[in-house]
Formats: sequence, C-alpha cells, structure tokens
Amino acid sequence: MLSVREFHRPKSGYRESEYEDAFSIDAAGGKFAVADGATESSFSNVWAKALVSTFVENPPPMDMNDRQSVKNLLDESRKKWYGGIDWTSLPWFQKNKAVLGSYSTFLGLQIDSPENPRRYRCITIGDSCLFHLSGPKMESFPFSDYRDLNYTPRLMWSGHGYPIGLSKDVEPPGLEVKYGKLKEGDTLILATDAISKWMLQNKFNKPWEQILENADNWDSYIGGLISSGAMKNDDITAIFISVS
Amino acid sequence: MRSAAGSLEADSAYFELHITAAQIRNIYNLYHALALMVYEAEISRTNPSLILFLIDQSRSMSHKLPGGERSKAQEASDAINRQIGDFVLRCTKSDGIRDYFHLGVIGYGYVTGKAGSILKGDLIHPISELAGTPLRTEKRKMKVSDGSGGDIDVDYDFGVWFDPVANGDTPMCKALSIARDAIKDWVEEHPSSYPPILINITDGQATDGNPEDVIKEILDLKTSDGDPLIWNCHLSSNPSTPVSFPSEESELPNDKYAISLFNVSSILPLQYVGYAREMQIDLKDNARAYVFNAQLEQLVEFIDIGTRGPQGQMQ
Repeated sequence: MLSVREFHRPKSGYRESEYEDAFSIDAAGGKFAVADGATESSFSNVWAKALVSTFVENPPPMDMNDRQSVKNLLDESRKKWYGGIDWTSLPWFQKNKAVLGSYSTFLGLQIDSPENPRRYRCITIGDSCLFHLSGPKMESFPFSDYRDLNYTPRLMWSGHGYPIGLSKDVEPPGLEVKYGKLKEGDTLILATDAISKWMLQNKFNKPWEQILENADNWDSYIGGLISSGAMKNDDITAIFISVS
Repeated sequence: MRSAAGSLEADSAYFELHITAAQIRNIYNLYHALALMVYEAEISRTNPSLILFLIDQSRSMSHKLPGGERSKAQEASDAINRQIGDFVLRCTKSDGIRDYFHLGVIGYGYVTGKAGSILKGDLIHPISELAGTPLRTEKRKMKVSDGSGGDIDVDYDFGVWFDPVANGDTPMCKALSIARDAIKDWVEEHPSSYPPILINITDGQATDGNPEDVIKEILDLKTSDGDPLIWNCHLSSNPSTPVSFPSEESELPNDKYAISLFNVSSILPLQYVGYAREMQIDLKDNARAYVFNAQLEQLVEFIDIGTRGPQGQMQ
C-alpha cells in the first residue's frame, strides 16, 4: 500500500494563483508527477499542469522506450496546453510573449504493482529530484550534490504559441531515467528544485524528517526557512510516498 | 621581497612608488565599487526598480547615425521604445503584468531650452501602465527559434511610446535636474530598492551648463543596495572608431566634453562587466558606463547591457 502526503506553497509574498509549480497524484495507480514552470516564460503554469496531468492520467507503459515515453507525453501535453489558452483574446504584449511558448521542468514516477516487486521508473528533465529513503540509506536522483542545482536546468518546451501553434513538431530534450526497487518501509520523495537543494545541503541532518515533524504548520515552517535565507524563495512542492 | 616564511616585506631602501593621482583615484573608485556596491537587491512588485532614459532631441540628432539607415533621433527612439517593449515582455505573466519596474523617458531640446517627460501623463510610470498606453503598435517581424537550430520569422506588435524629434538646443542640465528630483523622491520611497538606472543618450555638449555638477548630486542618492548607475552614450557624427566602456581618461580623445562625461559615468559593477564580456566586448574590470562616438551597434549594445543587471534580479 502507498501512503501519500503532499506539500506545496507559492513563493513567499505571492498568491496561490501565482504558484507556477504543478503536481499530480494517482496513489492507487502508483503514478506521480511534479513540474516547475519557468518564471521567465508566460503560461508556464498551464504548461506545467498539462505535463503532470497528462503523465498521471495517461502514463506510458513501464516497458516503453524512455525517449518514446517522453515524446508521447510531449505531444499530448502540447495539445492540452495549446487548447487551454484563449489566444485571440490576449492583449498585444501577451501575444508577443506567448508566441515564444512555455517552459517547465518535469519529473514523473511510475510504481509497478505489488506483484511486480514494486519496481519503479522515474523520468526527469531538469532539476526536480527524487529521493529514495531505505533504512539508513538515502539515494537522490538526478543530483547527489546540492551545488549541481546552481545551473540553468534542462526544460521541456511547449513549442510555439499562436499563430504558429502545433504545426511544427517538437523534439524532447535530454532526459534522465532511474529504475529502482522498493521494499516495505521505504519512502520516495518527489521535490522541485528549491526544496531539493535544501534537502541535499542538509542531508546528514535528515531534513525530510523535519518536514514531516512540521507537517501541520508546513507553510510557516518553510516560510521561516526562506526568510532566514536557508531556502531560496521559490515555489515549493514535495510529495512523500511511503510503502507499507 | 618575499621572506623565507612567505610574507611580503618592503625594504625602504629599494621601494619606489610610481603612482599618479589619477591611478589613486581609480583604485579608490574601484575599491568603492567592489566593496560598497552590491547591486543584488531582489526586484519584486513590493521592491521595484526605477529606470530613467534621457534622450537628446536637439537639431543635430537629425543627422544620420553611422552604421544605421536612419537619423540618430530615429535610431535612439527606436532603441528606447524597443527596450520599453522588452521590459513589458519580461514583466508579462499569464495573469497580466507585474510591476517589477517603473520607467520614465525625459527628452531635452525638443523645443529650445525645454526638457521634460515625453511619455503621456506622469514622468514615472509602472510598467503595467505603459503596456496599456503605447501611442500605437506597429507590425514588425522578429526571428524566433524553431527549436531545431533554425529560425522562423513571426509577426509581432512593436510598441511605440514616443516619436523621434530633432529640433532645438541641448539643455541636458535641465533634463538631469528633472531626473535628480525624480530619483530623490524614488529613493526616499524605496530605500532598499535596486539602485535607479539613468541612461543618457546624446550627440552633443550641454548648452545650459556643466552636467557634472547635477550628476554628482544624483550619485549621492543611494539606496541600501548602492549608488544610482549613470550611463552616458555619446552618439557619433562620423565613422571614426568608437570607444566603448573605457577605464582611463587616456583612452579618450583630447575632448573636454568626453572627459567630463566619462568622469561622471558609473564604474560598471562586476555583473555588468560579465554581461559585456558575454557579448564579446573587451573591457577592464574598472570600465565605466560610457561610450564615446557610438554608432548604431554600440548604441544597441549599450542599452542592452545597461538594462541586463536589473532584469537578472527579478524575483
């Protein structure tokens, strides 16, 4: 059985409607995804939502080639993104920007059924991370050193907006994949970049335990970390999945 | 000489100091720029930044700008309008425009002896207000990446907030005084903001006094993040070699006016030195925000680099 807890908040000082990360959860089906829409592009929140919802609602078969899985995700998500924006009613300055398309990181996790010793596959593009806690061990993917999160991440591009639209094919960017096995008592955490960096920076102090201990006052706990400078002021998303 | 323990010792018998007053001033200025000025304040809706453009509208701006097809007035107006459009673009989000920046454009010489805002309404405008109030938009083409290494042309709307004028004399001091008063008010209301940026584009000498005095007053209007940044771009009237981002007076021609503007242009904070080097511009760490004899290419580069710093601090 999978038990799931989800935590998210917009940047300190921002409204919930300005949150540009996205997540989607299907605990029964073992499908989870997080995405971090790039602030620099417009409609990146629509794009991030399209990616996570497409992945969870229509996941690729576990044995499908990784790159083909991402190509299918990209094609389907682009249709959802393009159809989700009322292009013709945008004012001139929004049209100028929206034609350039939207960008987002993506991390998708699929956990197989119990009959299949809880094999999992994690596909990521960019700097959202997966943490696998098993007994005293912690494995992180795709980064193990917090300093690796200082660079501009790879991003999924939606392709152009109106008036070019879906007429041009878009190739998926470089991706990274991890296959793993779960056992009872293990925990997986999907996290966007700012909280991933903080967890890696403090990994010897088991920061994931601090998050769960402060689950009831999560918002003020994270707000305190941000105002003290321990965590970057960014949209924050983390999904904890415990296997029992 | 180096002692056995590795420390430096100065032996007065052999130590000679060859350093000029100008070098001492440069060292002091560089120290000042590096040690006290950070230019790292986050720019947000609650802590916005101010950008002021000053544009010479004197009669000589009707002459053609070397490297371009059109007059200095047209090229300078186009460059500033493009930059306003770029600020609008950067602040545009799915749900509208976020006021990370407030912006003003002061013209001088549009009528002899006159200087003032050349945008509709107030002198300073939040960027969202400018997005809604261009004089007009013009259909133009821009190249966008096709995602596979090539480019495609796309129509876009080019915002025009003011038209070029080339008419009177060069009352630069009057324009700088208006800017000083606006910056003073801004800094009082936004004491911890990213420091205001003033970009002055001219092709001539002030006809109403010495601009150094007013610029020194502006440089005293600090925020907790540093001094205002003063950028001066001198447009060329001839195709001789431009001098971009000089660090020493000796790099300039023997021109009293050029030396005067050089001396009141800001030493580039290190981030800006980095942006210029990314654009393959060769400059020293203590370069100043000044271009002498700029042609179209230098004008465009100058405005681009001058506005990159605050754009990089948007939260």
